[in-house]
Amino acid sequence: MRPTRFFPVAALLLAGGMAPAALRAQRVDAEHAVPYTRTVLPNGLTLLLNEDHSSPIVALHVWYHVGSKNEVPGKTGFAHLFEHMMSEGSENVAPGEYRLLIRGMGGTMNAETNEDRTEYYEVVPSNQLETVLWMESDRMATLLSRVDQKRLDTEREIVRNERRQVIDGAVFGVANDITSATMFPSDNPYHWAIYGVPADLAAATLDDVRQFFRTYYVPRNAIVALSGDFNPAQARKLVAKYFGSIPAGAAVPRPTISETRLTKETRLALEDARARAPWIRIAWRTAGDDSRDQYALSVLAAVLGRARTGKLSKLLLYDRQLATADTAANFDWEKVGVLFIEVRARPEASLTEIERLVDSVVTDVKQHGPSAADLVPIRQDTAVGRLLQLQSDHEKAHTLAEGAGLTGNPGFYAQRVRGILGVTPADVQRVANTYLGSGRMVLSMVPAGKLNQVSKPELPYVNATPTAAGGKP
Amino acid sequence: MSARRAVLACAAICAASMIGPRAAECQVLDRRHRPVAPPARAFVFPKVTEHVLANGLRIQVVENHELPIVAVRMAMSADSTEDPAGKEGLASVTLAMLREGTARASADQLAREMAAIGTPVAPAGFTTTTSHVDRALDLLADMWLHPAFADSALKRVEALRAAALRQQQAVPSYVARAIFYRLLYGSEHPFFRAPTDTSIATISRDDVVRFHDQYVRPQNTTIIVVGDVRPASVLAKLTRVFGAWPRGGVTAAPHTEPVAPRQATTIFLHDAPGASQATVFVGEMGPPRTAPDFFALETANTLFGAIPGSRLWQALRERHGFTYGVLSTSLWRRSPEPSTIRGSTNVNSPKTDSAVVVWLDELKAMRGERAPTDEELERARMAQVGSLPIQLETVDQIATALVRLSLAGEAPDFYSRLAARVPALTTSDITAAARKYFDPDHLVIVIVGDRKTIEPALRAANVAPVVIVDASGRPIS
Repeated sequence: MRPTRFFPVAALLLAGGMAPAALRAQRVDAEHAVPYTRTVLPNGLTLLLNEDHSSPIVALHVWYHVGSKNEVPGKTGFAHLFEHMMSEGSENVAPGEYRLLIRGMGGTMNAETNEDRTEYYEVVPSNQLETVLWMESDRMATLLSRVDQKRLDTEREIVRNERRQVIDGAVFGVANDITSATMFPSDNPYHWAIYGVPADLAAATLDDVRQFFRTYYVPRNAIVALSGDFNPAQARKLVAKYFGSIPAGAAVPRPTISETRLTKETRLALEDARARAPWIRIAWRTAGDDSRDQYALSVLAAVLGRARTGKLSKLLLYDRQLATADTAANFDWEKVGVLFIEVRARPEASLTEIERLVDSVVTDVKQHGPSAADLVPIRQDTAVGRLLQLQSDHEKAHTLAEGAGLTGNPGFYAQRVRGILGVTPADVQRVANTYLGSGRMVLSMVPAGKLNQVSKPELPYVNATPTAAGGKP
Repeated sequence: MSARRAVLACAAICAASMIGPRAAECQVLDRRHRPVAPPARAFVFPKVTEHVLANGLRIQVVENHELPIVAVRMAMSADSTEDPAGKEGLASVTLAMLREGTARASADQLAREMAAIGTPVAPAGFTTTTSHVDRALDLLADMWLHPAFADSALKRVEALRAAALRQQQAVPSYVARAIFYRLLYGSEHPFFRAPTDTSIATISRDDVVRFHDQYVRPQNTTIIVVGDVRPASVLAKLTRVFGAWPRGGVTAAPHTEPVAPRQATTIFLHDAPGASQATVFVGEMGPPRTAPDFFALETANTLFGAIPGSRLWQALRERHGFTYGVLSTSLWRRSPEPSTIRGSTNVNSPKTDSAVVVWLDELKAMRGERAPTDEELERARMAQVGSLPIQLETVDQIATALVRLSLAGEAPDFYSRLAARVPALTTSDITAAARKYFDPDHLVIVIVGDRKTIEPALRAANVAPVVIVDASGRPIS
């Protein structure tokens, strides 16, 4: 199935990238693609199959094109709460039984909600394929027959505990909520966080659950991806048997994404009593999965933030020894993107000095671009990382579904590898100048009561620390 | 057979004619009918080729030619339990210092060489493509055999660790763990002793050089190589790069220091004012892993708390909604070192007392009052045995499993023994193990959370004495 020898793309690149781009792309593609077949059932359900008999297991992903950006203000956090309701049983599976059935066959399962989509998956011994298809189809076909108030209330409590653990339990855990709220205006559905505004959870009713299910959890809005040890003809037959009779559903509404950009710098402060050192985060709006700029933006983030040899790490952790950790990443969603830099200062270091140094690095990339040598490790990381990802049926099913759902191309991840390997220093310089402008967020995170440690305290800033009552940042 | 064929035919028709919802035509598919799985494909743990070099370095190789990738891991049996008192953190600082420059290459030079092959070679190993593995092994050996231990790098490593530790000491879940181990084993025991910013600051270059000289030795180390390789060529390469590493120093052995005597079950509460959740640890000392009923105890753990869907999980999360999740397992060490049976969870503060009551009820019920049902036992068996091909799918997973076995002093045939022994266990084996090892009268229960919310109800619940402790676990009067 897959080539067994690795063509040394790396060696070619090290030799100066002499291979003609087309030839290089072809070879990389052969190595990095996940072979798949795509079938669309008459009810609109998309089926993606990747046959791989290397382990006697199969990964089933059911991917729904609905996430927190489909919510409305006042009912935020609902897509994630709904995800929890999906494990509350359906007509033929008792509440809580999903987990017991999967664990009881030696499998693992989980679900994940983000701004754009909700994905459910099971990885099970391959002889259990029909059973997991039966289970996933049962909840797509019959979920509402079980939904009741008591279970909604219990899941609401579980979700509140999830938020307490993941957001409240982490030092500066609300920084991501603040970032979303700042980067996107309130009429943009990326404005609110996946967990939503805490008070909104109380507003969720059984009618909301029913309406949401009927609108979004329908075959025409779903992708089934299988990777692993199965016979494709048999798998197609089984998927048709269990999912084929579910009604397609009505046309699915898509939110409008306003094009408003940040035009000026927004300076914020966040305090946390548990913090022992200040952190700073600087964020810019970039581009979504629908833009070709994402490849150069990923490389730009890596030029800045690669561990140990990236420009920020080298300067701030090693040469100047002002920081304990740094990150730079470009997050690309379906329609929007954010590039952010975060630096965790040493307890005694000054955020003002760190912000100046970060800006000097960014300015240097904008004026001169990275060197050709700067890009070599990033290409190497990309090539090695992608190959490691191909070990896992779970990863492969995920990337096929995610690519197909967000871009229409199940091979999107292989295309992204190809795109990143083709990025030049001039591309990086161009996107740095296009996106890393003066419209940005600068968030200083300081130990409670240490507002004097805010970066450039002489500039006006807003204290975004939530109140103890859990108010909106 | 014919009924089955009819269903398939109908599904095909429905699928082909699906223009609008026409559910009536499709009622032949009876969703109440649960599929019956055919027998599972047999899973065989991959063959491990073992070899010991003349200097005592143990080598384990697993061939896996699915993809052109290789995982390499270093398992060193001398760990932080060898830290001298007052210099806690020495073992981990020494290991971190291996990547901070060698006699041949500065730290920056090493980092650039790793970057050139897209492979962060950590002291504990790496995973990379076959085209880079040779170069990565050269770097790994250079780091382990010829570290420079530059003073300036040591200062930086220590500053970063101290800052991280100071930060962790402000986080309830970290504090709870530290208090739990201190109270269970006693503050002088190597299983308890953990680094602090103060202990890190006392570590000098001489300490690091001495630790490296004493413990970072081939007879304390196993190299594990999993992936697209041939054992003969791996052996030749490793002999070339690690063959000259001199045996010597101290050969690490299991610890036999006495542990603190068992105490009657007590709740130790440490105040974390304003925390919205309380971290709860519940545990006790367990047997060494050579115990004859090892697999029965593992299965009892699985049923009780080791996986999502266990009794604890169903009670605390699914029935009551007190928590987002809870797990309780055994932490196994090298025999004859005792294990620790412990679980932890983060609960909504006002529900802390209820969560402790439910936890103790579930623990007691395991001892016979609610014996495992056949379905529960079958789930617990499958969660351990049926899951093996999923737990061991990738070269990283296989390499990590071999590291754990090596550090625990287990032979690589462990998974074959597990697959043979676990399915033979009966419900009475599980109850017997629970009666022997789950001891509700000698538990250490540590809670770190908002005292004013938690304490009154906890005392009123009257499940065990409540002692208020400081961050080191010492009682506050």
